[in-house]
Amino acid sequence: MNCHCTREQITDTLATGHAELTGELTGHVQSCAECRALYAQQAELFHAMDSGLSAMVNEPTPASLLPRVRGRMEETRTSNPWFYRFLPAAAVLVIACVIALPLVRRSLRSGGVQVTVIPKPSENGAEPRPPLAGGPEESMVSPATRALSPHLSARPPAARRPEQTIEVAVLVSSEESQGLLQLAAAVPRSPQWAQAMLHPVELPPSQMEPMKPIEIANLEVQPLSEEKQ
Amino acid sequence: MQELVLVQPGQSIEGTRARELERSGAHAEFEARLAECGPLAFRIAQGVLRNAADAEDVAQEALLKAFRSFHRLRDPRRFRAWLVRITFRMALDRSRSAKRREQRETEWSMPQRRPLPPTAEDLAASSEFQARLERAVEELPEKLRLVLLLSALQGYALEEVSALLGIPTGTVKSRLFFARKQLAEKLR
Repeated sequence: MNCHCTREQITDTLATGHAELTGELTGHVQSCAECRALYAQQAELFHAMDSGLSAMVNEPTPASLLPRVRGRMEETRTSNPWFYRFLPAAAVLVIACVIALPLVRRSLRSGGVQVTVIPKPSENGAEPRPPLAGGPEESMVSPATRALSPHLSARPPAARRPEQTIEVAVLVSSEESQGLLQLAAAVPRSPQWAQAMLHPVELPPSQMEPMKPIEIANLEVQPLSEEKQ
Repeated sequence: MQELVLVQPGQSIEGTRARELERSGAHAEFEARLAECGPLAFRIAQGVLRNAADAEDVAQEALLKAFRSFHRLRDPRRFRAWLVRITFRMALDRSRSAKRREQRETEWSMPQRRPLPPTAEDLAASSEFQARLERAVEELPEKLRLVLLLSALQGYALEEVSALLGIPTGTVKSRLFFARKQLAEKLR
């Protein structure tokens, strides 16, 4: 056993709380003066450490401690303010408000246009035509534009608030009603669709389909009655 | 004479009485433990703070905190371990806030540190070593520090420390070993 190992083992042995060395270690310490001196020094250090620690924690307890604690205990028992009982409930309420507030704000922000699709009566006139909410200009706006733009809704602007759900009645043919409903439901989830649909796309002439001129049979052109006179 | 009982709205007299009895029972039980656990709380606080007045304050606060929550303690046998943890944590908090305050005051006023009055050489050497020891203990990790302080308490063997902390005796031994080794390295 060399001196380096011995020194480490001396520290380890003393750190476990054993003051006496054993076996091979004792033999080396007895034969090596340097290690013997180190052992004596380390043993003294650990002894001083133990004494110091013991002095730190084993001071006599002040006689005033227990009477003070008893007095405070009695105070606590007798003066239990009524509002302490409501503290947990109040804390829960505050936490619930803190959690709910962002949710409420988010739901208010996400309130957009709610579209009610009224199927247009078929050509044979089987279904009665429901009254429009917004007057004659209602039918002049395309359904998609109306669904996306709150400015084109039927209600007067003064009655509308910006963060409110706006109800719009749109008159469409019965074949288109299902598709329009799906579109109205999908648009609030994808704002980029709404933006794309509000801005017309300018197609190059090569991609535009040619349109035939309108042909109207039996068209008779007459001058206006005022111009006649 | 008719007995009048103050009852809160929505509560029955029986319920209030039962709660009162339960509380007074818990109070009596706590009172029985106070004489034994009060000194323990003080010693732990003293081990961390090394100031009798501060340690007394912390022990008092810890005991009161334990008293207020005593009726909620599921296993009364774990009371001492619980109190030890409360006291240790509160003493650490107090020690940290005192250090911060001291640092602030030093930054503001920059006082000259006065050396301790010279006394006998042995006493000076002893107090210097004690100060180094206290600093070294302060630098130990919390787990090692608590085990070291509890093991240094008179009358607490390793098994009792193990029972107090709710950890195996082997763990206590290894923590104590590393704590003493680190302390010796710092003091060398």
